[in-house]
Amino acid sequence: MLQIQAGDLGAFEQLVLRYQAMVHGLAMSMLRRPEDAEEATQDAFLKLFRARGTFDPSRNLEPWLLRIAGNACRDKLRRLKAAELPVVRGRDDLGDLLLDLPDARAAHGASRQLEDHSVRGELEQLSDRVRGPLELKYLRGFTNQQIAEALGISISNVKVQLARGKDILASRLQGVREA
Amino acid sequence: MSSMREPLHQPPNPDDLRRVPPTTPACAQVRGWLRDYVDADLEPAQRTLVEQHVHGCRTCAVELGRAEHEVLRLRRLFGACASTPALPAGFAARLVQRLVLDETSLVSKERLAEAAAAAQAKAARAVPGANRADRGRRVLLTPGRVLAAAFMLVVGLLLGTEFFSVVTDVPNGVARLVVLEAHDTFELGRRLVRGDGLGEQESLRLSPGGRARVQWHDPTTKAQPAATMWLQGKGEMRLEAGQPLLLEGNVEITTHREVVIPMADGSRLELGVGTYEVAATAQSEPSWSGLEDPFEAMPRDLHIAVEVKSGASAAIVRSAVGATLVSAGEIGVYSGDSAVQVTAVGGGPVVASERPSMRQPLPNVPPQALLFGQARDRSGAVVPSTEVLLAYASAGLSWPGHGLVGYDGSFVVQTQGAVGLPFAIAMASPAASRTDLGVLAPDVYRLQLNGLHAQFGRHLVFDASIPVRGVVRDLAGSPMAGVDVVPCLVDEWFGCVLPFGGQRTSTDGFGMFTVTRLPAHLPTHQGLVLLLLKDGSAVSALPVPSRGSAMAVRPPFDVTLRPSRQVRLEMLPAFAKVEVFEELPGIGADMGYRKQAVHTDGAGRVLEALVGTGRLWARVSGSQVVRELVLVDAPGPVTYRPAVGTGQSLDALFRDSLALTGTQVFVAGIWRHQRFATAVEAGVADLSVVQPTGLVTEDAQVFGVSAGGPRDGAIVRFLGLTDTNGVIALPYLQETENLVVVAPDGSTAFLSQDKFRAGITSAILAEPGRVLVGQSVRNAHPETHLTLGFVRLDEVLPGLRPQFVRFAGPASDYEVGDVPPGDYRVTIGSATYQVSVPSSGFVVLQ
Repeated sequence: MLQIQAGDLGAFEQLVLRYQAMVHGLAMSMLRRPEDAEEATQDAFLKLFRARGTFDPSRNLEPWLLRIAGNACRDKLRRLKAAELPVVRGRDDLGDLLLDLPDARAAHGASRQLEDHSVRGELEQLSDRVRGPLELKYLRGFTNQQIAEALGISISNVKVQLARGKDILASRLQGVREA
Repeated sequence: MSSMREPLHQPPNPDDLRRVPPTTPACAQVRGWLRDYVDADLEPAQRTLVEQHVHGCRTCAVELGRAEHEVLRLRRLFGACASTPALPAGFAARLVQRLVLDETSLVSKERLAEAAAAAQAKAARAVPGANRADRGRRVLLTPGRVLAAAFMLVVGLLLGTEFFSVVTDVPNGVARLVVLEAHDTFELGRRLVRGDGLGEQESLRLSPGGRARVQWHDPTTKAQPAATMWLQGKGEMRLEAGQPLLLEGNVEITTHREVVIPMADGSRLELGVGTYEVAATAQSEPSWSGLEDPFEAMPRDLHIAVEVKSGASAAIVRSAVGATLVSAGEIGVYSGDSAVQVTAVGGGPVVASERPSMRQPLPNVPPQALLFGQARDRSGAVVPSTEVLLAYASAGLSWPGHGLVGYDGSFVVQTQGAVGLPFAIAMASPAASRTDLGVLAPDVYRLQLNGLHAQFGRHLVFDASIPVRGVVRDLAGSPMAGVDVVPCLVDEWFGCVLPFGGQRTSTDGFGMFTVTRLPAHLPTHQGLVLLLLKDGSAVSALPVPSRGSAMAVRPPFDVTLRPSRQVRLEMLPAFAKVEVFEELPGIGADMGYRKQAVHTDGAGRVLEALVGTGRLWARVSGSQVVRELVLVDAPGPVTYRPAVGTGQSLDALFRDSLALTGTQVFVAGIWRHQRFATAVEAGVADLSVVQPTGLVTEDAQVFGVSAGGPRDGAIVRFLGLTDTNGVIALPYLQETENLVVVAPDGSTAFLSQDKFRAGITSAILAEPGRVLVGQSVRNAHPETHLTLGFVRLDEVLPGLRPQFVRFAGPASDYEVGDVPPGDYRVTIGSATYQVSVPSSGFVVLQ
C-alpha cells in the first residue's frame, strides 16, 4: 500500500488484480446487472486510488476497500434508483426509499421466472436488502465482518439480516419442491 | 430502538421455535446458536457447548440438522441461479490506463506516447488476445514485444488519422479531444500538433489564421469518436464535463451519433447524425483580469448561427427560451434571449436573416431540469404553503430558485439546466398558519444528482420555535415602548450577519416584546442576536441562547437600554452637513453601522451629538472620504475630532449594507453560504478531511477564505461538502484563498494554501473544547446567568478572527462548550480574562 500511496501504478494494478473478484462479487450482489457492477467496481478502485493519501498503511486494507466498494455500489444504486423514479412524492422517508429497493428491480431478470412458485423465482423475488447479505455469505463466501464493512452495518445487524432472509425464504418455500 | 441491544447471534426461525419449543434453558441457549454454528461463526467454547448438547439432546440434534439443511439449500440455490459473469479480461490494466489518462495532462505528445506505451505494455501483459489462451499469451510476452508495441504506438501517432485512434487504444469512458491536424492552434501557449490529446478543462485556441481538425471522444464506452470537428479562424473550444464547449469560432461538426454541444452563452446544440456548421461570434470581449475567477464569469454574449448541412435536425436549446428545431438545409441564428431565426439556406454563407421564425418551441425539448425536495415538521406532518428559497450551481454559475411546498409535502423547482454541484443552499419559511414553527436558517443541503434532475438528500425539517420574551427598560427602570427588536443570525467564524426581517417586532406599552418563529436550530457555529434599536438610545445587541441548550430555559430577558452619549464633535468643516457612522456592537465590526446626519456650526463644531459606545467615523456630505473620529484627551465635555491621515472610503470600512426599514441602522445581510463555488475542476486539488483518529469525515463543509474584505476582514466562499470518503474535489482557488473546514460535529480545521501539494491534501480536524467558569470568576460575577464573549486573540487565517458568545449558568454547571481550540480574550460584563482552549479538553477560566 505504501507503494500505491507513492503513486506506483504497478503496485496499484497488483492490488486490483488481487481484490477485483471480491469487489466485483460484492457489486454483482448489490447491483445485479453486470454492466452496473463493472462500473461500480471501477469506481471503487478509482476512489481508492484517489483517496490513497488518507489511508493509514498500518491498518488492514481490506475493510477500507470494502467500505469504499460498498459506498460505490450504494452511490450507483441511488443513481439507478433516481433514474427510475425521478419524482419522489408521498413517501415519508426518503432515506429509506433510497436504501430499500422495491422488488421491481429484482424482477429485472424476469425471464428467470420460469414457474410462478419455483425456488429460483422465490430467490429472485426477495428484495435486495434481504437477498444481498445472503448472497454475499452463501454465494460469495464473505465473512460477517466483510459483509458488515461492505454494507455499512454492524455485525449483529448482518446476523439479523441473514436470519431474516432465511426465515422469509423458508416461509416462501414451504411446500415447494426444490428444482 | 437504538437503545435496544443488538443480538449477537442469528436468531432461530420463529416458526421452528413455535413448532418445536425448547424444553430446557440449555436447549433455548443452544437453539439460539445453531445458525451461527453451521456458519462457523461461533466462539470455540460455544461450539463445544453446542456439540456436547446435541450429543445428548435429540430434539436439538434434529434442529441442527435443519439448520445445516437450510444453509446447504441456500448454497445450492445461489450456486444454481446466480449467474456471475466475470470481469472482462484486462480490467485492471484498463483501470490503470484510465488513471494514467486522468492523472496526467496529455497535452504533450511525448507524455501521451510514454503513458500510453506503458499502459499498452501492461494491457498486453494482462489482456489475452481474443482467440488465444491467457497462458499462451503470457509465455509469449517478452521485453522485445513491449518495445515493439511502444514502437507501433509511436508510429501510429505519426501516421494518419483513422489508424491513430485504433493504435492509441486509449480506454473508453474518458472524454478527450484528439488533434488530427493543427495549424496555429495552441493550448496554454503551447503549439498543438497532430497526435496531441486534450483532457477535461483543456482548451484548443486558434489564432486568426488557424485551423484544426479534432476527434471528440465522449465519455461513453463507444470506441468510435462522437464527432469529428473542423475549426477555422480565430476560436476556442474547451473540453468541459466531457463535452466540447464552443467559446467562440467557426466549426464544422460531423457527428457519428447523437451528441450535445454546449455553447459559452449557456445554450446548447442537440445534434443528430449529420454534418453541421456552427459560427459563434463574441459580442463583447471577456475580461481576463488576474483576479477574476473564470468559473464565476458570466456566460458570454454570443451571436450564434447553426447550419444543418446534411443529416438529422439540430435542436437549439436555451433554458430561458426553449428549443427550436433546425432541419437540413436551414440555418438558425440567435443571440441573447432573442427567438431563433430559422431560414432556408440559399447557398450563401451562414448569416442572420430578417425573416422571423415560423416555428414554435418544441414542448418536450429540452426536458425540464428539476430539483425535488420535501419539507416536514419534526413530527413528520407536511407543512403546505411553506416557501423555500434556494441557490444552486449549474453550468458554472449560481442560480436562485423558489419552491412552494404542496399538500404532499414536496416541492419542485425548475432549474436552469442540470444542477452542476451536489449541494444547494436553502432557507425556508413555514406556512403562515404554522406560527409554532421556526424559520429554517440558510444552510447547505446535499443533493443527489441524476442527469437533468436533482433531489435533496434529506428533508427540510421545521422544529417548534419557542418564543423569546423580554422587557426593555431605561436606566431608571421604566419600561420603554417602541423599541425595535431585530433578530439576526451571526456567524461565529466569518462574522456574517443576516437579519430576519419577518421576525422583527417592537416593545409594547409595558416595554415587553415577544419574538416568534426564530430558527429552532442553527447551523454549527452560528448564533442569534437581538438588535435593540431606539432613537436616542445606544444600539444594544442581546445574544440569545440556542434552543435546546440548558440556558434556553432562562426567564425572560430584562434588558436595560442605555441612552446615547452626548458628545461634542470638533475640527469639522464649518456650516457643513456631516454624516456620522457608528459601529454596531455585538456583530462583526464591518457588518453594519448606524448613520446619522449632523450640522456643524461656524466653528466646525457639533455641540451635542448623540452617539453610542462603538467606534465613530464621519464624512462630509458629498465627499467620498470617511475619517475616524478619535477621542480628544482633554478635560471638559467628551469631544471627538477627525483622525489625522488620508481617510478612507466607506467601502473599506463596511460591507454593502441595507437599511433596516424605518431606521438609520444598516446591516450587511450576508450568510456564510451566500457565495459558493459553482464549478469544480476535476482532479486539480483534492482535500481529505480526517479526524485525529484517522476516521474520514463526511459532509464536512469547506470554505475558501481570502483577506480583502473591509477592515482587512475575510471574504468567504463555500466550496462544498466532503463525500463519503471524506474527500472533496476543490474548485479553482484564488491565489489568496485559504481553507476553513467545519465538520458536522463542530470540529474545525484550517489550512493555508501554501500547505497544498499536488493531488490530495489532508486537513486534520480539531474538536472543540470546553471552558469551566472557575469559582473566583463566579465570585466576581454574582448573577446567576453569565454571558461570555469570546474573541480569538490571533488571526487564524488572514482576515479571520472568530468571535462568539456562550452562556453559562447553574443548569450547565457554569461550563460552556463548543469552543474551537485556540487563545481567546473572554469578556464577562466589563471584566476580561484570557484563556487557552485545548482541543477536545477543558480549561478553567480563572
